Order: sequence, then structure tokens, then C-alpha cells
Amino acid sequence: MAERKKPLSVLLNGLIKENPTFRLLLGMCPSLAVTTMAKNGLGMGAAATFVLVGSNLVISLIRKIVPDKVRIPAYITVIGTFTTIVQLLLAAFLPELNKQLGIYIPLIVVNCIIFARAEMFAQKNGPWLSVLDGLGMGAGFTLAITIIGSVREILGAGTWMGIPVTVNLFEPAIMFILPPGGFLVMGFLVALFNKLTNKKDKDSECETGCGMGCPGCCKAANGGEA
Amino acid sequence: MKELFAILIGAILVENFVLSKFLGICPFLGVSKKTSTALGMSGAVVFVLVISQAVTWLANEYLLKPNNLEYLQTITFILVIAALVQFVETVLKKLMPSLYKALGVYLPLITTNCAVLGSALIFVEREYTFVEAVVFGFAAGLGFTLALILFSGIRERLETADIPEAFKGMPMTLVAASLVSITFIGFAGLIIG
Amino acid sequence: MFKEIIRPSLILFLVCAIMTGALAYVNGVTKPIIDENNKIAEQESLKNVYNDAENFLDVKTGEALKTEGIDVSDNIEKLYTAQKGGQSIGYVVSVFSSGYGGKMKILVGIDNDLNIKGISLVSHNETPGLGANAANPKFTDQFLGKAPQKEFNVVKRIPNDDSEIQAITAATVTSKAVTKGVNEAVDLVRSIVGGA
Repeated sequence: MAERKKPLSVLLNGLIKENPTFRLLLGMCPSLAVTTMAKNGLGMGAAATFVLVGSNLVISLIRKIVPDKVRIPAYITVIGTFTTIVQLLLAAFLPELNKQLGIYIPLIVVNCIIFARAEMFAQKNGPWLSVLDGLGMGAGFTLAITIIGSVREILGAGTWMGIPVTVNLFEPAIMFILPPGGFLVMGFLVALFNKLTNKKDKDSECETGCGMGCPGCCKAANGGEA
Repeated sequence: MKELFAILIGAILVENFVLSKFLGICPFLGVSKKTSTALGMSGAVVFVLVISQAVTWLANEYLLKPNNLEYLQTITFILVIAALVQFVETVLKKLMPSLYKALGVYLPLITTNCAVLGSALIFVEREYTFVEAVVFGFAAGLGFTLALILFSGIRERLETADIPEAFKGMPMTLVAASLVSITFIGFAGLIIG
Repeated sequence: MFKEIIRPSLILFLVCAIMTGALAYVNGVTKPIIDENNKIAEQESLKNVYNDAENFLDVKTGEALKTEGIDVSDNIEKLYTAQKGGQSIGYVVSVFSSGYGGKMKILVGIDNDLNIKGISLVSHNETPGLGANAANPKFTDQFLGKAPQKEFNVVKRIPNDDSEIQAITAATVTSKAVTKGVNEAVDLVRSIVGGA
């Protein structure tokens, strides 16, 4: 890369400017599936951050040793390993959360956020910056899905983190916890995010990208624009 | 036989992979703009799904389980899928270049498609037999196809609609997806098993 | 030759080996903990449906029971003997049933007089807010304390007698599935204690 990246800006990048969920629109599957409760969003975010930081670190460390030919399988192995480690740790120490998140934990391995960052950042930057990028992106993701989970939980069950909050204000609508609610809340939140950050979505033809084919990967490479 | 039929209907309608289980969303939201691309993507997905279910099932049954290596499931499955996609791409390029031209662009997208890995993880969870796993994969693919085609139709119409600036693009797609998802809940009436 | 094929393959192999090694290590450390967690969870869930019992022994699978000549439905997974003070006071049956969202696992605690001591839905895929409510005491309590002469039957109105179970509104499939599982569990215990 031409310019030297400031560590702080790398860290904060993932929170707003290139928020993986609301701006880069990566990792949709878990974002919609596990956000039936705020707590689950938090848990999934933490698990994904662990994998993100770990794989970013390792991939950055080996980036100069691994030949281009075998780059993709190497990434898959690294990311897969960290995903499985998270799976095992959760099953051993947080079985309740593990049950709640179900198959979406192993699905972290195909979470486009991780691949996109590996390809776009870890492959091209040093280990320390890569760790920061992982933390920032992970934090952005966690923040995003916790918000989604909170909205769905409050509107759909009247609680937040299990604590009843709406009491008698209004009758919670189960729909928000069901799949349609997931799509709806996500749609509105992305629109809100767009409005707040004043960006217009230039509907891109960006349908392929990265060696692994995460859609929007070219978006990620160009800083959120087509 | 009744079991298989139930699996088929279940995965396509009642617990549609995209609209109900949220598996396969990334390509779904990105690719479903034109019906022709939707068809291309779906075809590729169904194809890869069926083969990957078969191969991962065999790998799980004869390699991982006998050696107590279940913890390697995630890695093994995703490596198999990635290799399979690579293989399919190469074969198509050499043997059926016209088909490759139509589908080729979507093939890499399938590797990270949650639906493919998801189907494998599900057959492990539900302890499906070989046939059940493959049928499930096929059904998941059909469900994906159904959702994608329904969607591309809606999106084609949305292109010409007057939408508030903040909603343009992804947000509107998501809201539309939510409406389609509601209609699929209507299939709750189907009695299974 | 070396640079083109051998070197990349070697490096890839090395990466895989190291990663898998790390994984095997983590697995080794966590496996006993996970197994222990599962055992504790199992004991807890058994106690949940049979509070009076002290321990649960003599676990037999459905297959094993068949070889003993007992007429067992294919959906029966396991039979646990519930004990208190060294004496068998009843049984807990784990039975599968096809619900709306797929296979679900039900635990039924039954004493030697065929009274239902407890029911719990251990795992299910039912719709949250609808079929999933079958896991709540509001539904399962209907079975408690009963030892019906005939099978439990699901009805959509207030039950007339002990053998009728009121279905959950808009979740008839789930209600019927749970009831079917309970019936099969009762049948099993009935053939063992040779009772009514």
C-alpha cells in the first residue's frame, strides 16, 4: 500500500465508515438468522471477532511465505481452524449460547467478512495492523447485529437481553422474531444507516470478487463504492 | 418414501432455505437482479449442492466418524466444497464452454454460499442417511431457486419504482424479501410426517 | 518443477499440518469438558421430568429392548430406570416424534403405576411463539399426574376427561406429535410393568 495507515483509523474504520454489516453488506446469513435476541447477536459477534482477529493475524504472518497458487486453500484452512476452535470453546464453556447459535457458529467459516478482510487487508498489511482491522471489523459487526437483535427482541418479545422493557406500552409482534421480521428490520436499519452517513447506494454490478467469490468484495476493496 | 417427500416439500416450501433459514442470502441479495442471472446462479447452486452433499456425506461417514475426527467436520466440508467448485469450474471450462460462459461467473460465489455448507451441517445434525442427505440438498437447491426467481421478478419491477433515496438498492430488496418471506409462512398449513 | 509444484504443495501441507495440530490440541483439551457438560445436562433433564428420583440407571436403548422381546416402537430412543433409595420407582423414556419442524425429542417420566411424573421437550425445531409453546408447562402440565386407561387424545376444545389433551391454538401438528410421543412412552412402560 502506498500510504502508511494510522492504527487508530484502521481500528475505527470497521465501526462506521466501512461497517461490514450496514455498509459492506457482508455476512448477511448470520446477521439475519441469529438476531432474534440481542444476547445472541452479542455472542455471535464475539465469536466472529475471535475468528476474524485470529485468521487476520495468522494470514498476515504467513502472507509472504504462502505462494499465490495455494493462497485460497491456505486461507480456508486457517479460517476453518479458528472457526472450529471457537466451536469447541463455546461447546465446552458456554453450552447455552452454543445451543442458541446452532449451525451458525460453524457457518462463520463462510462468513464473507472474514474472507474479504483476509484478501483485502491481511494479505497486504502487517500483523499488528491486521489484528486492529480484525478488531475494528469485528466490533462493527458485533455492534450492528446486536442492534438488529435488540430491535427485533424489543419489538418482537418486549424484552431486551431477557429483561422485560415494553411492559404495557404495546403488544409485542411475534413477526419480528420470525424471518420476515429479520429482513424488515435489516432493510430499515440499512436505509437508516444510508441516510445518516449520507451515502447513496450506487447499485453496482459488483457480483463477484475475491478468490472466494464473496459478493461485494469489490465493494469492500473500493471503500464502499461500486 | 414418504420421509423423502416430506424432506423435499419441507426444504422447498415450509422451511425455505433463503426465506426461512437465511441460508444463501449473500448471493440471493446480490445476484437476483435479473431473471436470467437468477436462473444461472440457481442452476449452478443445485448442481453443486447435490454433488457436495454426496461427497461430504461419504467423507463424514467413512473418514471422520470411524476415526473420531468429528471436530474436523467444518474444515473438511468447506475444503471439499471449495475443491468441488474449483473442479466443476475446470471441467465446465474444458468440456462445455458455452455453459461455462453462462454459469462460470457464479461458480466461485457458491463456495461461500451458506446454503451449501449449511446443508451439510444439517444432515449431520439430523443424522440423515445418504439418500436423505442428497434429496435434502436437491430440495434446498430448489428452494433457493424458487426464492431467487421470485425475487428477481420483484426486483426487476422495483427498478422502475419511485423509491426514497435512503432505501434505494439493498434496503428495498430486504423489505421486499420480508414480504415474500411472510407469504412463505403461509405454508404453515402443510402437514408434514 | 520444484518452485512450480512441490514448493507450494509443501507449504500448503505445512500450513494444514500446523493448523490441524492446533485443532487437535484444542479438541483434546475441550472434549472431556464437553462430554462432562453433556452428561450433566442429561442428568438435569432427567431429574426435570422425575423430580422424586435420586438417580437414573440401567439405561437401555430401543434396540436393546427389542432384543429382550419387548414390543417397542421405533421412535423410542432410551429407557432409564428411575431409582430412589436403591429401589426402582419408575422410568424415564426418551422418545422421538415427528413435529412440524422435524424430529423432536421428548422425555417422559412415568412411575410404576403409570402416572405421568413429568414431560419435557428436549430438542425441537418448532415455530417460536406457536409450536414451540408445546415446551411450556401450560401445555405439558396437562399430562401430569394422569394414568389414563386409554391413549391420550388431542382435542381442540376443553377436555372432557383425563385422556383428552387440549391442543395449542394454531399448533395442532406439534400438539399431536408431543401426545403421540407420550403415548408411545406410556405403552413401553406398560409392557414392562405388565400393568393396566
